Parts: sequence; C-alpha cells; structure tokens
Amino acid sequence: MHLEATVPENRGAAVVQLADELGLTQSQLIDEALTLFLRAVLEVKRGRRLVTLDPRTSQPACELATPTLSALEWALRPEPLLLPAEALARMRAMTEAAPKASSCLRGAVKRSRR
Amino acid sequence: MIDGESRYATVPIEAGDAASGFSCGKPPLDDYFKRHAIRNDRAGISRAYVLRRAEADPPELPAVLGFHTLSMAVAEPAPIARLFEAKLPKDPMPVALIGHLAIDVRAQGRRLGEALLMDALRRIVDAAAIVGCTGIIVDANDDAAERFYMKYDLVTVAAETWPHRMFLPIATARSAFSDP
Repeated sequence: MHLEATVPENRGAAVVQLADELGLTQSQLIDEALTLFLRAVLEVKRGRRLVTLDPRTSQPACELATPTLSALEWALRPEPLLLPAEALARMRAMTEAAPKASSCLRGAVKRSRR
Repeated sequence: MIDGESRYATVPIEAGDAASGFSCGKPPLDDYFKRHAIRNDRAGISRAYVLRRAEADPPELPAVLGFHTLSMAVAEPAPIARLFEAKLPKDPMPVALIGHLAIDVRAQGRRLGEALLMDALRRIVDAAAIVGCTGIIVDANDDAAERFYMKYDLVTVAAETWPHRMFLPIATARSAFSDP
C-alpha cells in the first residue's frame, strides 16, 4: 500500500537522516515507526502507560507521551462533573452557537507560538 | 495536530518535580503539586504537565516555573436538577477539565500564566480531534483567577457554586488556533 503524509520540515529531515544512519529505506523506517505507534495505542487502550526502562536500575527512566496517546488515556477515565441545570443549559447554548475566538485569545495563541 | 511549538511547551511531570521547591503562594495548589500531582498522574486520574526553566531563562528562576493538570470529564446535572429532568438536556456533555494551573511566585509577572493556559488549550484542541469533547471547563478559585480566564473567552456558567466553574466551547478554542 502507498500512503502519503504531510509532516513538519524538521520531522521529515529527521526521517531522512535516521534512515541514512540506520541503513534503511524511508519506507522501512516509517513502517517500523508505525508498528511501534500502533502497539503503543493498543497498550494505552488497555489502560497501560509507556515508559523507557533504565537497564542498570530496572527503574522507569521517562514516560513516552504524544498528544494522541494522552487524549486516549484521558478519554478512558472521564470523571463526573455535576453542574446546576442552568449551567448545563448555558454550556449547551454556547456550544451550539460557539463564538469565534476574541482578538485577545488569538493574540495569546500567537504569542505562545513565538 | 496543531503545529507551532512554543519555547514555553510543557512536558509530562516526573518524579523529581515534586521536590523541586515549587511554590505559587497558594497552599492548596502547592500541596497538590507536592503530594498529589505525580500520584494522580501515575494513576491516570489527571495528567500533569510542567513548565521547566529554559536555558535562556535567568538562573535565579526556579527549576519548575509552573504546571497544569488535564483530565476528561462528563458534565451532568446535579442530583437536585434531576428533579426537573423533563426541562433538562438529557445527554451528558463530554468536556476537558483544566483542574489546576499555577505559576511559581518567583516566575510571576512574565505572562507565563498565559503561556501555560495556551499550552493546555493546545493540548485539548489536539485531543478533541480524536475524542469527543464539547468544551473546556476550569474552576476559578478567586476573583483574580476568574478575571484572568475571562480575558481568554472563558465564561462563568456556575457563579452560584464555589469555585466558579467557567466554560469555553471547543469550537471557540479551535478557531483561536486556526490562524496561520
């Protein structure tokens, strides 16, 4: 199967460099990366966390997270949030006719990207 | 996923962060960070993200500049409201909850609160691309917090309860990140 994807410039450059360094084709490298990611999604869906292990201590060294894996993890455990009826009605009305972001919020997003 | 990595991007909390000396000046938040943030994160109850001092930052700043926590929640009518069920919307609303958001006192006045809130919103907008989420809820624990969140389009929907619950529709948040 042939898949196409658009990725940030630096990520694409990293794929090219790593494939070269490991002596793999770009397809082989992306295939392995996808295999790992699919496995990661499966593990998170089972309620597990992904960590790297320090072989000297057998202790977790760091946790692996991506926006997708974090989102899946959150979605698995929603907590009930009790609200007055008026608040829920107001939230629903706001959701159904959501305003565009104000210039203040847009400005904050722009500043956060610098 | 939304592009645009910030200098102020957060990272998942690590075990050593609890002992970093973080203090925002509000005892309940400080206590949460020291005693519960890592435990709740490990238990999958809520994810904690910390903002660390960058190399370019002055060395007198603390190692952890701030943190926020995120979880998914389902907004439902309180038991008393169920008595009037016929008049209520019946479907629960899936929402993302920004449970805590705090900046160390030594790092305040640098607009890091804004940077931290934008980081939380960006993560939620990314998450909403793959899970159901109608909006974002935050709890404003005092008037200053409520004024802060209001600047960024959050609206108080439950002023009669404490803390004041504030809401931002996901479509509004998404529109803020849609600008190139």
